[in-house]
Amino acid sequence: MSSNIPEFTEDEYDFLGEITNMAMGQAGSALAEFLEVFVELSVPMVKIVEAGQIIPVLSDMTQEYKEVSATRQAFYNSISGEVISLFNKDACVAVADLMGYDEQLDPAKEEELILELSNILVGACINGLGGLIKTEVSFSKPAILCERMPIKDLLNSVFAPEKLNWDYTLILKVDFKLEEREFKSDLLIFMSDESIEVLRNSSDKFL
Amino acid sequence: MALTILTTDDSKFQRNVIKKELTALLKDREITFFEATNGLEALSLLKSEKIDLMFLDLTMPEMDGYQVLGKIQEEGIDIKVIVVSADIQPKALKRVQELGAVGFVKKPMDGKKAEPIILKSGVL
Repeated sequence: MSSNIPEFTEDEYDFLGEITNMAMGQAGSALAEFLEVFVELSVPMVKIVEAGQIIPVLSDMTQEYKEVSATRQAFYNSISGEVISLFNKDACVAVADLMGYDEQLDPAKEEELILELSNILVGACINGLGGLIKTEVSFSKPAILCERMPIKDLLNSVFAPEKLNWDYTLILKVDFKLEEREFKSDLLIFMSDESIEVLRNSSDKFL
Repeated sequence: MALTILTTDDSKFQRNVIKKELTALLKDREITFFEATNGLEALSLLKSEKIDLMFLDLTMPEMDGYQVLGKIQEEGIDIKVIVVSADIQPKALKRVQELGAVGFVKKPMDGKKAEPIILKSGVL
C-alpha cells in the first residue's frame, strides 16, 4: 500500500505550502472583513498521510484543542475533497457580538453561527486555492459534525478505520486566531489521488 | 548599470515568481538578483552588497519581515522595500507602511501590480 503514496520533492512541498499560505491569506482577510477584527495567521502545514496513521497525525496537529465544535464541507470539480472546520468550544461566544448575536446563544443559534463562519472560511480558502490554480470549485453545504465534543472523540468517530475509503490523503492545515478574543479555528483540508496531482502540476501556471 | 534586486522569502517558489515577473517587466534592464531566505540573511546582504530594491516577505523563520523593516529604520539603512505578502488584511498594510515600506503587493506577485510601486520608488 505504501508504495502508492506520492512522494513530494522539497520544491513541491514548498509550492504546496505557498499556495495553501496564499489561500489562507484570502480566508483570513475574508474573516477579518466580516468580523471587522485582525486575524492572526500562522504557517500552514502540508502532509501526506496513510489511512492507518490519520488519527495520530491529526491528534498531533490539533493538540491545542480540548473540546471542539466542527463542521464538514465537501468541494468538487477539478480539485475535490473535504474540509473539516474546527472551532474551540467557546468560539461562538467569543464572536457572537461581532456577528450581531446575543452572547446567550441557544443551541440553534450556535449551530447557525458555526455554519456561517465555516462557510466564510472554507469558501474563501478553497476559492482562493481554485483561483490560484485557475480552476473553478463548487461546494456542498456545510454540515455540523459535532458541538463541544472532545477532539479525541471527534477524530475517532470521523476517521474510524471502517469509514475510510482511501489509502492516503493530502492534508493542508491552516489556522486562524483573533486578537484579544478566545477564538481559534483550524481548517483541515483533505484531498486525494487526482486532486493531489492537479495541485502538484499547477506550479507551471506561475513560473 | 545593472539594477540589483534582493528577494527575501523562505519560499523558493515565491522568490522565483518575483524573479520571473521582474525579468518580464524590466526586460530592457540588466538585473542582478540576490536572494535571502530569512531576515538575518537579508540584512547581512544589505550591508555587504549595493542593493537598489528589496522585495520582502512578512512570515519567515529567524527574523520576520516586520522585524527586518524595524532594523532597517533603526540602523538607518538606505533601501527601498516592497513587501510581498499572503496576509492582505488592511492592518498588515498599515503596519508595513508605518515601518517605512514603499509598497505592498499581494502574493503571488504580479509584475503589473508592482510596476507603479517600482516607478514610484525611483530606483529605475
